[in-house]
Amino acid sequence: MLYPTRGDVNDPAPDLARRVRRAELWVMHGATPTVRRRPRRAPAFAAVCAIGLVAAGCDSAPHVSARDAYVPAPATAGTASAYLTLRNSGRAVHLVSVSSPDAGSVQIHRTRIDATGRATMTPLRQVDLPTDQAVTLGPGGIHLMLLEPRSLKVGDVVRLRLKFDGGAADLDVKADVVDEIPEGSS
Amino acid sequence: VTSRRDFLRLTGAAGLGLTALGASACSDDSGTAAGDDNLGFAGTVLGIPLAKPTVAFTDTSGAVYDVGQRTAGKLTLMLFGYTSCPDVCPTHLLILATTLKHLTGPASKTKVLFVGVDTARDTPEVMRAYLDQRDKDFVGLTASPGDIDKALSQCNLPPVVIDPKRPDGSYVVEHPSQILAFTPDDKCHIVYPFGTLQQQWSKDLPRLLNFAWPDTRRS
Repeated sequence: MLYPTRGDVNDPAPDLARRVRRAELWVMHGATPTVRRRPRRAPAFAAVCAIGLVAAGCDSAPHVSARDAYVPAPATAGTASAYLTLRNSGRAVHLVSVSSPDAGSVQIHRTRIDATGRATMTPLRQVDLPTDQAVTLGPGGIHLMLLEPRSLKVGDVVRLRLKFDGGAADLDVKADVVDEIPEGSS
Repeated sequence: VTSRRDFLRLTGAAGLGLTALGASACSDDSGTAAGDDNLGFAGTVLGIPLAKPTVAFTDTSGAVYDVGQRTAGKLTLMLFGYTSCPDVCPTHLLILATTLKHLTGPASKTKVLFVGVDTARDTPEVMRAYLDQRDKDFVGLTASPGDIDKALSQCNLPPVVIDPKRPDGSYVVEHPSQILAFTPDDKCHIVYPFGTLQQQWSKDLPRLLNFAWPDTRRS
């Protein structure tokens, strides 16, 4: 099997990390994600949900978790990439920005490989996180590009703070610096 | 005769992880099923093998590196990338380094040639420091932009595209993501897509050392 080379935002190709049998690494920032809604709309919305008149129309609070986060040990001082799988169990939101105390900046990028095999890379404004779906950011697809990371060695941990729109709480993720690309145990 | 376009389709199909793109590119994920067009390998077997590029490369010591002469009779993997690449290149090189570290026997001596195509930044010094982070035996090569594109053309790979600089001064380099495998007969019969896993390399490299390639041309 190949790991993802098609980085479609909503449907990342068969992913690598999903097959990785490792302990979950995610750490929620805060115990419960808080939902910020427009004040005027919130009471009516909540009331509708509470009495269950239109259950199908009730969005659930966005809740994004992360697992299998890793950073391949960088070969160069200037850049590195973080990969992980995000799962959204609430209504659809977008990953809109990432920051890290361990890098100068973090950009969301997508690698595309065209029909001739040529790879190129474009920045993404956001990553779609549809309801009840896992989205894997993996090699050859969407990745979190760390610019000017601190010196990283195998065994180090890269701290990432992920920000979303739609009222989802910030998510703090710890990514292990690894010297092998996880491939599962098959 | 396989045309250049057919070749690009073949390798492109591999690059995208597609399993079928016309009869000539049929493959099977299992790699071992009957009728597998790729002879059980994880890469894409070429209808017509390629010769080694003949351009004047320079290695990381600054010396001329004649690929044909220096790699004669040796299983040799060749890839084209750039040291500032955050995704494709470090992943490829990490997987190759890990594979060779775990292999024993002659396949562990597989030569790896990394051609730095971003000539402004991929200086011999930068290349050496970069490759040493993966494997000190990896060979780093550079050439003039014209010679690099000539080598890519000789290998039926698309030319390099240097994207315009962004406001922060960074720029992206579009480069082929495939890895060419030159076998001990000094020909490239098979091209590996980005996404080839360590377990696949570990299985394929020992086979590539002694594989008797069929002489029927599959075009």
